[in-house]
Amino acid sequence: MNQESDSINLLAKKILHSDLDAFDQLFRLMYPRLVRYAVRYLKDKQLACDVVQETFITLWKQRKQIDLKKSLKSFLYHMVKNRCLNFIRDHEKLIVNSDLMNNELTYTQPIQFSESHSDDNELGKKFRAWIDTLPERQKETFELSRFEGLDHREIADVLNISAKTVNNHIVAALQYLRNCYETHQNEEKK
Amino acid sequence: MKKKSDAPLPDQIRDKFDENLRPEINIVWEKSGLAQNYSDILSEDEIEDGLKRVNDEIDEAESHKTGSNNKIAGWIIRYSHIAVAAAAVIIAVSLFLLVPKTATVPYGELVMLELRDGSTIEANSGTTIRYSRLYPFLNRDIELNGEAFFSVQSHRNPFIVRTNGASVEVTGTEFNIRSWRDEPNGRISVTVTQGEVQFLPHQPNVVPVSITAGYESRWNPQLSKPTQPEPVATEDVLAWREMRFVFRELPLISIVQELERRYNTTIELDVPEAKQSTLTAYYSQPASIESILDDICTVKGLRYTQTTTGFRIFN
Repeated sequence: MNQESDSINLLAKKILHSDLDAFDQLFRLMYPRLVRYAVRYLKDKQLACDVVQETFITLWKQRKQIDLKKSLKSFLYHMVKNRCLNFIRDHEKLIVNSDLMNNELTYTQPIQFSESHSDDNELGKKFRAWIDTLPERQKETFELSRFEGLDHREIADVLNISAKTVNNHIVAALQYLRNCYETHQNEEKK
Repeated sequence: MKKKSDAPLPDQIRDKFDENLRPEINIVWEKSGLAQNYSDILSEDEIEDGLKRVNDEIDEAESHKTGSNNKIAGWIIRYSHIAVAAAAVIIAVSLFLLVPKTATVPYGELVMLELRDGSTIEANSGTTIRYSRLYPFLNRDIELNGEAFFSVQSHRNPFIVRTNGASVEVTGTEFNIRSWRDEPNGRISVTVTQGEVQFLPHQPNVVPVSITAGYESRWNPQLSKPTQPEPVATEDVLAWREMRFVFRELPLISIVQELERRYNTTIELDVPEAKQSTLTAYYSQPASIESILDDICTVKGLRYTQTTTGFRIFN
């Protein structure tokens, strides 16, 4: 486990002993990331917030069953993912019939980069588009590794696959992104 | 707060690429971090708002947990299936207890039943006895078809033998009842060896008869009341208990039925006019069926032969 996961598990130990302050601390640390992760599945910020809040409520209710030997971080991602998938399964018709399926939604958020990095801003958009064209599994693993800071073991726990498979997915994703990036640079030079 | 997109390329990924590719892959890894364009979709206020909602929910849940009403409701829900199962078991047990116990004595055998109150029933071959599984707590009702000798212990519940349209009621005594459903005229004989019993045919306007030790009374559905009790040699009546036979002016058909039961065999009586003719015979020791048939045929001027299933008596 990496350093951050260790400090999260230190919080887990306190939460297990009903320390509400530690719980608040964990919430402030993980809530934004988990919401962002849930948006990936639900395509809706408010729904994502609800799902993650419910996850935290469940965590507190079941705090006595927290397994300190395992990464609480990957456990949280795992719970959020399952809840999102359950929600989609239970509300399939609703989602299909509404604008929630609109993939463009995530881009409607104002992008918060400083003026001086407008080039980076453009490149970020490009990368975003390339990542979105990755096969689902590669995209999932790559994002968890790159943006959520989960190590291979933790990603494996979240997605129920082996750490070796996680590595293969990320390598494949990087190879693809490198090709995209290369092609893009060659076009820029022209 | 440290930005997650600054995370370096993990070693196990880098090692998968050729040495000369690695710098380039590193750049791709680094630049791809720019794609995390919605890292700040939640403002500080939104985070605090979410935390407040979670904390409120938790507070409510915790207060519910300690609320006594919910505790009881929860308890009922949790244990309701156990209550259902318990009710089912109680019903099953009651049904089981309500179904009476039945004992049928095999042909060729005598059986002694000892009941829970210490009373005993000695039953002749082929006799059926039925009584409640709750004996003697609810009642001491015994259903009888056949012949049995009862030795009854005192108990707050009366001991009642119900048999083919009559009942015999006692509280503590010894008596013999002979009541075969297939007996001609449905005759019932009650013989008392100790104490006193009430003999009550189940018919309107019939006065019960009280029988004391050493006396016997008989009844069949054609009679308006049981016969006046007469003194009787009780050891003759009870001879069956020692596998002995005492036939006192008994119709031949009844003797044949008795023999069939005692020896577990079939006897065809192919002489219709002889069926009602009576016979008196004593066997002080258990005898073979052949010797008894010999005697009957000699006295009545008949013959008998063995068949595949038993015997046949003919002219």
